[in-house]
Amino acid sequence: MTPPSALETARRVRVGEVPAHRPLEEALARAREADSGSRPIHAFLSLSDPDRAQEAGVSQDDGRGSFPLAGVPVAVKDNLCTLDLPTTCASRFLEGYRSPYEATVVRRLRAAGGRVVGKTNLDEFGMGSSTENSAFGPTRNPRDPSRVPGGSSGGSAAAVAAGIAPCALGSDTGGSVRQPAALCGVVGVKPTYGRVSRYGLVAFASSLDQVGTFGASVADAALLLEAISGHDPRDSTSARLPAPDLVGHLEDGVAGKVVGIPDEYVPDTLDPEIRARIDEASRHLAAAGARIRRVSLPHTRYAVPTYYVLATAEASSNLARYDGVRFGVRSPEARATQEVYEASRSRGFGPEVVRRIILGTFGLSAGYHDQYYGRAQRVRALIARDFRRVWADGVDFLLTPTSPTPAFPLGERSDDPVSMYLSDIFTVTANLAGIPAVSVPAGSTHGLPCGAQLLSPAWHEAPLLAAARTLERSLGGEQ
Amino acid sequence: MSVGRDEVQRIAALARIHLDDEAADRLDAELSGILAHVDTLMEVDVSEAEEALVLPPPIRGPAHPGVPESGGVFRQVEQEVDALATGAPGDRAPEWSEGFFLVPRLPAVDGTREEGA
Amino acid sequence: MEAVIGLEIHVQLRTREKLFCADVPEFGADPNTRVCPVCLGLPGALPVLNREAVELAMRAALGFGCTIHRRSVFERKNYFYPDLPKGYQISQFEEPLATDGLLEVRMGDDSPETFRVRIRRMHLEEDAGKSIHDRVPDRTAVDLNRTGTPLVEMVSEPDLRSPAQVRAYLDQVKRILEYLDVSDCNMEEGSLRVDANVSIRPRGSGELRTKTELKNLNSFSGVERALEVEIARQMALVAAGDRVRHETLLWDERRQTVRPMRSKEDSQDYRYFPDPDLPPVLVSAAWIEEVRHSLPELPEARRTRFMEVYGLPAYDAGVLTARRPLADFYEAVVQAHAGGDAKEAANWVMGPVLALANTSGEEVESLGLEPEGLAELLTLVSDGRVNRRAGRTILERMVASGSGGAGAAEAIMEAEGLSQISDGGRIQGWVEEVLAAHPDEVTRFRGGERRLQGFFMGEVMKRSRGKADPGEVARILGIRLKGDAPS
Repeated sequence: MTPPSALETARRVRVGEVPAHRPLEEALARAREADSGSRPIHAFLSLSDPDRAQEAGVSQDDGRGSFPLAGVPVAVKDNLCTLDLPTTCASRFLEGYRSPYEATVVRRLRAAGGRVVGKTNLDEFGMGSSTENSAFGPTRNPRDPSRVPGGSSGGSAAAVAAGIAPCALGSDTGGSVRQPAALCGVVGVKPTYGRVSRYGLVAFASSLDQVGTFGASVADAALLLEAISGHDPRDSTSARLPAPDLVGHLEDGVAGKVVGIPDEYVPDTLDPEIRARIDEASRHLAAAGARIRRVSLPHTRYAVPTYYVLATAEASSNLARYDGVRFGVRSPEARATQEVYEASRSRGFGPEVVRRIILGTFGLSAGYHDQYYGRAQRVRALIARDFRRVWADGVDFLLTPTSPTPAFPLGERSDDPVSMYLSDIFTVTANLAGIPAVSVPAGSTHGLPCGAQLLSPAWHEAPLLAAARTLERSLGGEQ
Repeated sequence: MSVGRDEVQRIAALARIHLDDEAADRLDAELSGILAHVDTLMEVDVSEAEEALVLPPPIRGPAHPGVPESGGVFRQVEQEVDALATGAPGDRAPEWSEGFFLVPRLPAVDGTREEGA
Repeated sequence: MEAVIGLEIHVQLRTREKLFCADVPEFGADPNTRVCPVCLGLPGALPVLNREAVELAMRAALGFGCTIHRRSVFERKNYFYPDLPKGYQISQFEEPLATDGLLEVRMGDDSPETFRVRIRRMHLEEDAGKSIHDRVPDRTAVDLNRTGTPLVEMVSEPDLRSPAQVRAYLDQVKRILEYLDVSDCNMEEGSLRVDANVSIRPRGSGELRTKTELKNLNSFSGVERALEVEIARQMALVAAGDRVRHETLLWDERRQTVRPMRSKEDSQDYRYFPDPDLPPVLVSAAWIEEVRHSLPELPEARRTRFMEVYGLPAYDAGVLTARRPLADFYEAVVQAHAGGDAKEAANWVMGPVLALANTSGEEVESLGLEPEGLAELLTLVSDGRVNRRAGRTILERMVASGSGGAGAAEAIMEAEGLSQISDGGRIQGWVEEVLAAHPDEVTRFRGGERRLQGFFMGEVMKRSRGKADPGEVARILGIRLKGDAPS
């Protein structure tokens, strides 16, 4: 039984039809339900205890007043710091870790009236595309529990897809919101880099990370995104812009807009069913008044290697703070300080994290720095320029598949890093260029959810989500 | 390109990650596969690449009136310290005594900073 | 052979808050009480730049004649150490805040000899915490209060040629930084740290040979001594046909020797890359000019001006400009003592006033003595209303009572009856009494023992309880002693 939408819940709470605490209670009940039975979804690593939250220092409104997210239950990815629940990043290293401060986005969602359901499962430290890299067990795809929900924000996507919460927070570094959204059949948005504060988001790759939102509908994802957006003086990379009006523009439509389909994103090797879904999507947009055009983003094929050099380089540095000195799990046998570091880190980190730290350290190390890190930075600039040229040519949005495959079975890819990395092939470019992107459910392929991705120029979230809404409406989604 | 087990161990030491020989060999193989993929970057003509990408992307145009041009980003005067809301720094520490974080003794003399612990 | 020395100086900036977070550091605070998620390197925390640090760094850079770069970039210097919470230090590498400065250094206060030291760069970086190895057995204790404090690292070209030059350079650097009010410059407290790079080569050869790095230098004299020891060591090696190895050496103050550092040098690959959490530091031309105009007169310029305007000899000018508050004090005295003798004022400040400061352990400006007060005292002396000795007494009282402002000198003079007696008649009376009381000495004086003048002076002063005008006494004594001896 699906819960009411976030918009609807907030409306009911604001007018007093529903007491502010009720939707959270119901969400918690649904969360427990989803994990009972033979194939528990395992979307959550921890669930809220509303009675205890206040003790932990959480300030929550009383539900009266015009809060945009009044009473709305929101699932929060476990790499966002919260006061009342642990923040583990699905890593042994941070098992039980309690942050002494809250992420800005969590503070804002609470200030808007939203209620945190719990912390959702992810690939450890955000590294992965299936949520199988969690130290605490994988999450199952609610649409087919024998399959992965995608990653790294698999838990948040599953929480929304399973109807536990109408919306959720995730993080997107190379597609970690959009790809699981596509695989689970929900909406996932990555905003422009700098649109949403990263303060309190445990860093994976600082120049690529953004907090993103999931929704059962475009409207719910947009509502949550509005609530958390806007300049944060605690994040130096946060843009000096107020929160945008997104919900108000959702019905603007796409009449007169130009939609480009980049050649490189619909290669001959693309799964024909996925191609068919994208063709349908483009026809729907055309029917709604958009003009469709073929375009080219010539550096696309270098995007995945560029991403993996830069993201792992930044990650290797961001994860150096996990040394077992001030917090985290320390290995008890270590006798010398160096041993403390090595033992704590090697024990605390899973194999994918180790792999990426090694790769990232390698790309930055003396003798390889220019050839890998230096070169990748320059290719990144060229990738971003490809987009700017397309926008300058009169294109308003780009339409692409979100993922090259639908959800794959649990365990199928976990031994082949390169094939796992290639899951990100359509999503990493938006992170590299810093532009916003959204995945919208676009039918199914092989009986499994398929997502269509829309991208737009920086700061154009409002028209972008209007286009997403148009697609959603014409594809038969939420009214 | 193949990295080799010794090089993998050297990199692992830099990153303070402990690898036994088997793990090092496995990583070597995986890294070689990934690097073969990454080496395609060598074919790109980067001569036209501008300076490193500016992020966040510049904010331009009439849609954003009154937004100041990007300049230095400085801390606002009124910003408070995010005081440790729950307890003291030592609460999360694996080893803590009389206000200090403790680690196994470094082979060093007080006052010196021998980097590379 | 000659020595080739370059210095890296780390200056802790006296900003109110840390470089990237709002903690307020305080020397001597209880451990781990001036910390927050940002400087603790907790998951999810982010740095935000302190504008005051940039401003102070610019002051420092301009004080050494550097070019300030409109755009500079923070980079991460990646290495592991227990008091480095993030596992990297935020610093500047390829694009520092300032480069290409120049310092003209004087060898000593009254030496005309100067030499030049080029400043290669000055950049901003955050400090690390403190690791204390001897507090807990088997353990290193870590205090992160200092983590994130702003530092300016100042790197000189290897233009120094001797430990004495290094000492002069350090003294001048410290003086300039103190004038600029950007740092406490206290090596004991760690707000000024020095590392030295030293090599030797045939005199005038111009090549740069293998250098060693000296660390753990805890005082200016320690720096001088360590360099003497290391230069001697290198000379001996080369004389014996050996080569100097590139290594980092620690100065052992207790044993007065150098020893190699124990950790592996080869593993220092810092993997610098621009910090993605921080945008480039942009400073406008207008801001640079504003800072430039706000700079105080620097010590060298002030010293020259004191010589030219106040007619002070080089040594005096040097002493009086050693510290800016002292120079300010002196100038205020001169200004208040309009029409007075600037050299007199200098003598008093450098003499009795500084002496009082030393005894009490205070600085001149904190003695409770106001420039107007001292100026008035000087006027009393130059007008002949008190003699020098009484003047010194009055000065002591002013300082001891804590009331050293206008009117104090005169009040004390009245209260203690210290005014000088210049009345020739009374002095003549005392002179007659003394001469009458000591006829033998009078005879001996007239017989050639001129030294006895001092004895007679002393006796007259005693009879006048120290108040007689010594000049008058000497004059009258001179007349009477020359005259026919009364029987």
